[in-house]
Amino acid sequence: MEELCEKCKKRKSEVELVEIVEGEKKLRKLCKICAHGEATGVSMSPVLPVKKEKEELGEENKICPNCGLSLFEFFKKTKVGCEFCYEAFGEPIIKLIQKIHGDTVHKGKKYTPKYRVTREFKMRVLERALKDAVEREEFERAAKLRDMLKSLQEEK
Amino acid sequence: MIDEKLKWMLGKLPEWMNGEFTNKDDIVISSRVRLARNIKGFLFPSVASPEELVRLYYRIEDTLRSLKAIHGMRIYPAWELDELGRKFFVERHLASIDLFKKKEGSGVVIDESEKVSIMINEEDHLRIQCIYEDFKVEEAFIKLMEIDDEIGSMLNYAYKDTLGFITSCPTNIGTGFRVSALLHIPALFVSGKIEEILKETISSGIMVRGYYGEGTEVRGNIFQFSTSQTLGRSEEDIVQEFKTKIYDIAHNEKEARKELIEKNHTFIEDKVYRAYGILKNARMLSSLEVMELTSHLRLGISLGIIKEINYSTLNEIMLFQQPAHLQFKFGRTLKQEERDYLRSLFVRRKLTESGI
Repeated sequence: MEELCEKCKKRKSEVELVEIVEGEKKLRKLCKICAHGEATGVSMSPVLPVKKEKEELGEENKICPNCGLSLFEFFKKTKVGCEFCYEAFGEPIIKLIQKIHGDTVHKGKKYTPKYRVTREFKMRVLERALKDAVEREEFERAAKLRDMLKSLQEEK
Repeated sequence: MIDEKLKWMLGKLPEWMNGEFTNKDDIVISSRVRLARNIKGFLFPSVASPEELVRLYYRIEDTLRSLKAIHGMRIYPAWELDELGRKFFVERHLASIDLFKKKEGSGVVIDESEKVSIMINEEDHLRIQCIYEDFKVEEAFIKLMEIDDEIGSMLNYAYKDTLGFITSCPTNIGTGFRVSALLHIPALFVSGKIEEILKETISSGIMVRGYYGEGTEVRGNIFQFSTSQTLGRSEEDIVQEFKTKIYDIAHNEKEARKELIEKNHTFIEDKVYRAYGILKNARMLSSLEVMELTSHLRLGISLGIIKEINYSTLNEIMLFQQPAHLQFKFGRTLKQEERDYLRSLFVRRKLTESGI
């Protein structure tokens, strides 16, 4: 079996780092990313924020009736099996979502197959970009943004 | 041994690497936006059987063929690519390492400019991305929304009113939308300010990653910053907030560069010329070494220390010195030592061509 990194316990350990702790040599086996972090003082973001063990869950296991994935399996691999899993798992997964995003309600694009971003939306986004480009003296970009805005206006 | 289907990409740079930077500070190298989408009624890739994935793959491929928003479309089923071909896509930032972990029923669709890439059956059924040069987030964002509208009109997305777009991982649910940018921030590194800034950035909800994205290491002082929240905010607000934060980091880098050049001019000049000296004369160069040294050259160009090389040349070196690209360039599989030698040869040639 591959040895896992001592720090993240996720990736393969590929680097051996020698540290002197209180006069004693200590060998640490790390993956490249954690080793880089240790060497430079720069840590990367964690790969996934939450991973729970069965015991910690304290929840009853649930099975998604559509794909057969269980809640415990989900917490192990943090990926659902189908679009119905979220409903089937209910509260535990909603709690997790709240923890990750600080919210549980979608406020973005409202999808229907007929949905199209509006001309007004595009113009608003491009106008904001133009303002930033001018402020930062990115004149070439600003000129192109003006052209894009102009052709949107002409679409009317 | 060299995949014929990939040859058209060998003589050129992806458009986001090719353009001369409008932003003369050269801090934000590129901006990327992406969407995660799944098709209603199909199991997600982590549980679907290979047969199901293949069936869905062809259905998606058929639909994508008729996309009007993509010019000069090329389609690459993962199972038709060999190891080297797959690495080639990862090195060009057109696909993730994860896409090729399972070969059956997955693939990638790209456009001629390589600004658009759509991964099929990676973690989600669809991962649609647009990469633009510089900090052109809005241009990329609008293009992405147009492509998404078009695909969404032909394939029915898995979507619920309260949770939004349903994704494999809860970290993407809602908008399925992420914005990221590659930033070259050597002065923050040299001045030791990087740690504090990254800490602040991470606690404000921006993720920090390596050169090839999630789970990869930082190379040549190039960091990937990306948004993490996908639910509870609109795509537009996500873009705006991200911009503010990235402008802050870029501002800090600019200040750190100013300080370096005012207080440590000789030190920085020495660093730049040493990098140049090694790149111009070494007979063995590793990929990581070239990334580190070109970072110093890039800093040298932006500080006006070196004037003969332009960013396009530097980008070309950065792209083609990578292992898979190098082997494609020389037309055969190369052993490590041979690779390091030919890499140095390639770098020397490029620098000589640019006239220094």
